[in-house]
Amino acid sequence: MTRQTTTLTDRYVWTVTQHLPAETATDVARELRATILDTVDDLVAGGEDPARAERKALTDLGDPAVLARRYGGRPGHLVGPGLYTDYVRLLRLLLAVVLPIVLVAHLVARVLATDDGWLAILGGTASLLFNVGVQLTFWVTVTFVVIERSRPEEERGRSLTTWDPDQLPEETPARSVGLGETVWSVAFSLALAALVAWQFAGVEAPAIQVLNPQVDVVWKVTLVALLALDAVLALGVWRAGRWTPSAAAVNVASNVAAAALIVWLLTSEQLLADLPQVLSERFGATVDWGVSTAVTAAVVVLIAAWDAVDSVLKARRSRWAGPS
Amino acid sequence: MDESLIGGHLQELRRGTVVLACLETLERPHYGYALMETLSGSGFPVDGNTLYPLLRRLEKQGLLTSEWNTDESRPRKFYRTSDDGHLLLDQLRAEWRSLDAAITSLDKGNDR
Repeated sequence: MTRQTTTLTDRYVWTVTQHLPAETATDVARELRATILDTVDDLVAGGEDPARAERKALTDLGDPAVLARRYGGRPGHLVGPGLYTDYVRLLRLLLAVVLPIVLVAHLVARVLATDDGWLAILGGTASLLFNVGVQLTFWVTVTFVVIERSRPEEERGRSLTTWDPDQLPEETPARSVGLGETVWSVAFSLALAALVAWQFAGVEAPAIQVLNPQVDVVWKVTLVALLALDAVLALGVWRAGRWTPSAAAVNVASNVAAAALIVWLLTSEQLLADLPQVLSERFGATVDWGVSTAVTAAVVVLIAAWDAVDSVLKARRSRWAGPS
Repeated sequence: MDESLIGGHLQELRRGTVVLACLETLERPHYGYALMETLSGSGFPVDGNTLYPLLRRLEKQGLLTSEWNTDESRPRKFYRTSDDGHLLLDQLRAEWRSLDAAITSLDKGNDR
């Protein structure tokens, strides 16, 4: 019975007004109904069939949810242009501060307090970082959505903070690489590459054999080349005056490759010589080597990650460099 | 040239003039549908789903007053420009004239 008497117009008006505050809902419903009937009458007077006229009138008014939002003055977006800049700024800042702290704290805690293998530690760290990142993003977003919805309509589009020129970054990007930094970087990379090459070649007493000279020659050459590449990169960066995106990309790739290679060699027990044996021969005492493979691998990964992230950050900061 | 690009710019230019046209037309009381017909008849085609919520917002801002007319079989809500609405209308009209003058003088400057 009721189903037959409920018209499309009734359903439309009800859908629009159900989410409006009670004090306006009745008035809006009454006016909207009259408006729809006026429109239908006009269409019928123009020769349209009444049922089709009703459909057309409602179709022209469009989605009732959109109309309700316009009546209620609520925004049709989660975070609008006024808040967006503040939102992105806060989110970036929080992620940049929190994620590295979580990374280091978790790695240190797992390596020191548990006997887990490096694979389990890396997996756990990755999933923790992912979860923290998602949670952080979610709650910051929710906060901004609440702010956007609770602001009066006139203030929408206004940002929360007032910008002033003191907020400009202090570093000017044109030349952000110092001479000392470059010299140190080149010297350190070459020294490290030379040291590793010398160890891989096999050393005689009185030097101590730390790295395993039996490593496949392909990996020996690759590792030394990757270490030496850092020196070449440092020179390139000095020439350009700043970290370019491509230099940063090469640096990330070489760090990832070197770390992966070292960790693989470590865990397959190829990288190091049999240290306890070497040392007891040399010093005549039994040394208990408590340093686990996992700790060494974690340190290697940390150093590589830090170097890679550092270069990416420097490249980002000098993205808008003027003269280069 | 891209039709939708032109349409977008024209729409943006016209957006603020709907308020001006409403305040002007509502010197004499109108109900929603009649106002929409009058506006589109005078070259201001505006969608109902934009106009009807706009009338309520202008009323809430005190620029329009409204009154239910129940004399006829179908009760209708009539809107009319308030005193504040008149003040705003004068300012909007003055702004419109000065914009028109400014654009005309720019145009002349280009011709020279």
